[in-house]
This record gives sequence, C-alpha cells and structure tokens, in this order.
Amino acid sequence: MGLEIENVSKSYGSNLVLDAVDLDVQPGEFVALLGPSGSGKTTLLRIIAGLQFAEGGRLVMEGEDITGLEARLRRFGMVFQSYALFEHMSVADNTAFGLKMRPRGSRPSRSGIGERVKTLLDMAEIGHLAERYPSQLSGGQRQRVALARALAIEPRLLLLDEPFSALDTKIRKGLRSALRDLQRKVGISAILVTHDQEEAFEIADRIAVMSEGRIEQFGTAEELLRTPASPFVAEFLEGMANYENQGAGI
Amino acid sequence: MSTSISHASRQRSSARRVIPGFGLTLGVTLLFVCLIILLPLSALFFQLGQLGFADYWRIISSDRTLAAFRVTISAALMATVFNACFGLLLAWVIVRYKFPGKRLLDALIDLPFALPTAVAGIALVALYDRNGWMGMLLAEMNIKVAYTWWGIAIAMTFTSVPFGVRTVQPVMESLKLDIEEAAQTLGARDIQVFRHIIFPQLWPSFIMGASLAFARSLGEFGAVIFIAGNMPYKTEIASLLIMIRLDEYDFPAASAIAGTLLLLALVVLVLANIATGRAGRHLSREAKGWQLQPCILRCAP
Amino acid sequence: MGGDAVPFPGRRALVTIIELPFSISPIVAGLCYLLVYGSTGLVGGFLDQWNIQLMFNLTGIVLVSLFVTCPFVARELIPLMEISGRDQEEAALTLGANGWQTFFYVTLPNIRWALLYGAILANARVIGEFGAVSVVSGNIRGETMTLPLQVQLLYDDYNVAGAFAAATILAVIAVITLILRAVIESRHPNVH
Repeated sequence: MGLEIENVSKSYGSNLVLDAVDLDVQPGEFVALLGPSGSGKTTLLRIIAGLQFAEGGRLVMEGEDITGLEARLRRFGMVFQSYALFEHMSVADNTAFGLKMRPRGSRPSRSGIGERVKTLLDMAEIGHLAERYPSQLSGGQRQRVALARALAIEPRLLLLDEPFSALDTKIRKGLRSALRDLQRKVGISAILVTHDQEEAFEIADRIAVMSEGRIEQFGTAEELLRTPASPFVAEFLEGMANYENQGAGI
Repeated sequence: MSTSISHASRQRSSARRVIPGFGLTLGVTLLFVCLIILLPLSALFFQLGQLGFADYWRIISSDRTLAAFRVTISAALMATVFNACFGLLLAWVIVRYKFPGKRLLDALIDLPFALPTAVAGIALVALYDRNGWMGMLLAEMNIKVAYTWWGIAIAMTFTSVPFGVRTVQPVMESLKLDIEEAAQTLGARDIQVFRHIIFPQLWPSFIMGASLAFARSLGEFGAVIFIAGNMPYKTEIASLLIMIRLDEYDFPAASAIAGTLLLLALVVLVLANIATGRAGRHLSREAKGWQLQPCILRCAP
Repeated sequence: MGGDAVPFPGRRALVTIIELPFSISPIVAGLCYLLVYGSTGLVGGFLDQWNIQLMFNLTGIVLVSLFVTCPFVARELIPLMEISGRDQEEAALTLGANGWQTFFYVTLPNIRWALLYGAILANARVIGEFGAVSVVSGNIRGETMTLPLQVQLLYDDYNVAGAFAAATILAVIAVITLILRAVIESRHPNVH
C-alpha cells in the first residue's frame, strides 16, 4: 500500500520536466528524491502535494486514486523550502491552523486543539516558544515550527522540500537526526527533496536519484553505491563511497 | 474509492488552478472594470464616432481650441522637463545621502498628491499674486507669473513633482553599489560612473516618470484654473475649454476636445512603454522589476 | 484581487486598464460619465424612463469618485502580493483550508495594512477631487457642493477669507493623510 506514483509526466510549454516517473513509498518509509537542480524533484513533490497537476499518469494513496484530488483534501503535511510560516500568527496559532480549518464535525474542541499543539511543540522541542511570532525565531526554530504545523493535521504522508537548505551546516546535522527520530516516532511515510547526497544517505531508507525528469535509480544507499544503474548515478554519488565505509549510514 | 470521478477530473487536471476562487474573483474584477472604467471611456469614443471627421476637424482646428492646446501642451512640456531633471536630483539626494530632515523631505514630496488641487491652486495664487510674497519679489524684477502662461506652468509643475521622484527612486534604491565600485576600480571617474553605469539603469524609469508627469499635466485642472487667468486664446487650458463647452451643453465639442486630450496622453504613455521596453530589455530582472508592472508606481496622485 | 496568485492571459492588460484612471484628466473622466450615465447617455437615458437620475446628485459624485480612485488599493496590493508570493497560501491549502478560509485567515491578514493604506489614500483623493466632481455635481448649493467646489465658489465670489478657511480644512486633511502614511510605513515596512 502506501503511495504509488505511476507514469507521471509534466511539461512547461515544450520543456518536459517529468518524463513518465514511477515511484512507490511503503508505509513508514523515508524516501529521498535526490538530484541536481532542474532534475524535476521539486515538481514531483508539488504534484504529490496537489499544488500542481500532472498531464499524464496516476497517483494512488492507500488504494485511493488521488490524481485529481485538491491539495486541501489530501491530508499530506508539507514543509516548504521557505517554511511559509504565517507571519501574522504566533507559533501556537501556526501549529493549530490545520485543525482549526476542519469542518465543525471533525474539528477537535478548543481545549483538544490546545493540548495537541502543546504535545507537538514539546515533541519538536519548541514548547517554550509557543507565544512567539515567526519573525522572532531563528532558522532552526522556524523549521521546527513548520514541521510541527505539518504534523498537526495527522498527515498520511509528510512532504519535505529542501527543509535544511536555509540553515547553516552546524545546525543542519542536529536537525537531520531530530527529523528522522520524529518521523519514526510518529510512524508516517515521508518524502524528502534534496540536492545534498550526504543528507539523503543519512536520513532516507531508500533514495531516488533524479536527472532531467527521470528517476535514474531507486534503491537503498547500499544498492546505489554497489550497483549504480547508470554512469550519471555513479558520477553523482562519487565521493560518497567512503561514507558507507565509515558506517555513518544509519 | 472515487476512481471514476478522479478519472474524469484528470482530463482537465493539468490545466487546473491550484489556488481556488479564480473564476469568482476575476469575474467580479472584470465586471467592475467594465462598468467603472471601460464603459465610460467607450462612451466618449462612441460620441466621437457619431460626430464624423469633418465636424471633429472643424472643432479641433478652430482658433480657440488650437490656442488652448498650444498653451496646455507647451506648459505641460515645461513642467515635464523641469520635473524629470529635478526629480532625478531629488531622488538622488534622498536615496544616497543621510541628512537631518530627510524623512520630512521624503514625506513632503507626496504633498502635491495629497493636497486637493483646488487648495494647491489658491495657495499658488496667494503666493504669486501681486500682493503675495513671491509675486511682490518678482514684480520688482518686472516678472509677472500669476494669470500668465508661467502661472500655468508652475501649477502643472507643482502637481506633478512626485512623478519625477517616485518613479526613479525605487530603481535607484535597488541599484547595487558594488557595480559602481567595480567601475571605480577600473578607473572610471565619478561623472563617468554616473554617465555609463548609473544612468543607463535609471533611464527607463526616468522616461516613464517624465511621461506620467506629462500626462498628468495635460489633464490638470483644479490647480491651474485659479492661477491661469483663463483668458481665451492666451491663458485658457484645454480642460477649461471642455468645461466651458459643457456649460453651453455643446457635448460634441466637449467630447472632441476631451477625446483629443485623452488620445494625446495615451499615445505618450504607450510610446514611453515601448521605449522603456527597449531600453530595459537587457537589464536584470531586479532592475526592471517595476517595469514588469508598467505603471505600478510608488507615488499616489 | 488575484493580481499575483494566479497568472493568466491578459493579466498585463487588466493591470494596465486598472491604472488608466491615473493618466486621464479628471475633466475628461467627468465628461465620460455624463455621456454614459447622464439623461441623454447610453445607460442614463434608459434609467431616465423610470425617473432614475444618476448625474448631478450624490450618486454621480460617488460614481465618478469610484473611477478616479479605483487604482489606489490595487496598486498598493499588487506589489506587496508579488513580494510575499504564494507560499503561505499553498501551505494553508496543504493544511486543509478551503478557498475562503485561505483568504480570510492567511491572505487578508497579510495585506491588511496595505489595504488600509490604499483606502486612506483613496479617501483623501475623493475628498479633494475637483475636476471630475465639478463636471458631474451640477453645483447645487447645499446639496451637491463638495468642499473643493466650495473653495472655488467662494473664491469666485471674492470671498477670499472664506475660500482660505475652506482650503485650510482640506489642507489639514491632506497633512493627516501624510502622517497616517508615515505611521503605517514605519510600523509595517513591507507596505510602501
């Protein structure tokens, strides 16, 4: 089950950005879309989120065809590259947003929302920042808010668009393992878009290496290194060979 | 689950707009634009069409109309040249230097826009009249401003000052200092830096500001009529002549003059758009950000 | 509305048309309105059959004021919405908000100061509008006499003191507008 992507294509004018892409994500699995800029990985993520629509192909989530479903009905939590925090709302209000937007029937009570927000913020280790506004936060804190906000809607899938690119190297490493732990604890599938090989290798169970709108290879870090499917994969992952030897993969 | 539905929706899925409400908001916008802007404007051209070319020409080529246009256009040109140059200078001072009272000066530039034109008009008369401060001063030098062509030019200049400044200012703010520094390290003198580095980047906004100032001056009414003296053939502007024809219920004549005035302003603006499009075609996206929005200006008439 | 969020063909044309009233002489604008909504006009003639008169009364002044000020708010909002982009709206959608919710909880709060600012400028302009209003008002004393028209009337009657008194009120309103502008600008630097 999980998410199945079948034969998805997308072009901007005459420019083909996704060329018959297939991908499957198992429940609880962490998948990375890895590739240089312009390889189509962000477009694929936005199509999965429902923020863009493919010209051909199908998206199936837990057996349900969601190809034409609106973004708001998909219940996929997304962390944007810019984080896209609501600047006029406090951290707590940002986190509560998705729950407050639910129709009255399925909306938790006011106190229910409050408790859930508190749990999430504590889990993301930013419980003490609940009343702050986004402009008063550091980059790392903003990312945690974006993550807590996405998790608040109890998403069926977590989508991460280069969530570390705006942070400096030092904080990045700490946040990576925090993200991985959080995803395991919640137990949902996640898709991470990144151009950083090390990041993909450290976080993901399986990695899809993308180039020019196609998935060159999809497999575990070990598979990619042992048996690269194309010269592109071998070249793109050059330098990562030692990485596995150091045993830093997990 | 909903396979059949989503199959149907997939047909149009790639053309779908993600942010909802497009149809509704665009529909309301277009209705508003049609009723408030386009319908009245097309009525003017409808009226002109009924008039026929011979009658139109008779009205436009009459001595009094020609004189009014001559006065209006020449005074507007005067105001435009002054404001284009003065605006560049003022924008430069505000963007590049820090000095006490800078914020006040910045705010004052908008005064001609915020001040009702009638108020500007009687204030200018009070100043330049025989008994006013400036008027007395100039009278000693035997210069008469109030109730002459010069009065009209000054009133037009006053009301269009912000255009010259506010179009150039944002572009000037966005200029990167390191380009100028690079030019200096390559041996350019200050005047060369301005001539070869700064001005080419400002040029499109400079043209745009000048043409907006010109369009505004052509149509200015409130500020001008107080100081103009309104003597037919001498100090009568085109807008006033429209007003006079209207009072005589001579709608065809009023429409003919108004249509010509409108066309003149539009032609200038279109030409400026084309010129700035050419001049700016190689500029960075940032430098011509304002230009993608041709008339979205910082100023507020 | 919709200036930034959704690119569509004809967008540039629409933006330019909304800007048109800035470059049109107020007298010409007033005349255009007389031609459409006056009793001999296209729409006015039709309404005249039911004795509905739009010109030479308050309705006429309101209509022509709409024309003169229609670019103000749009012009404040379009650059702001271009800068802030569509990320926050998209985030709201992925969190399950529908179109109205996205607008009321995300878009509107982000643009509220620019909206207020545009409204203040439009208000000041309407109060001070002279040319367009003098064409469509009919100058009926006590009924359709606006403050700027009163200034001219008093001045033409050689009542200079009265004219200056009325003008002072208008000048004060203008200065208050500029002060409000400075206040909003210093508190919310994103708004111009």
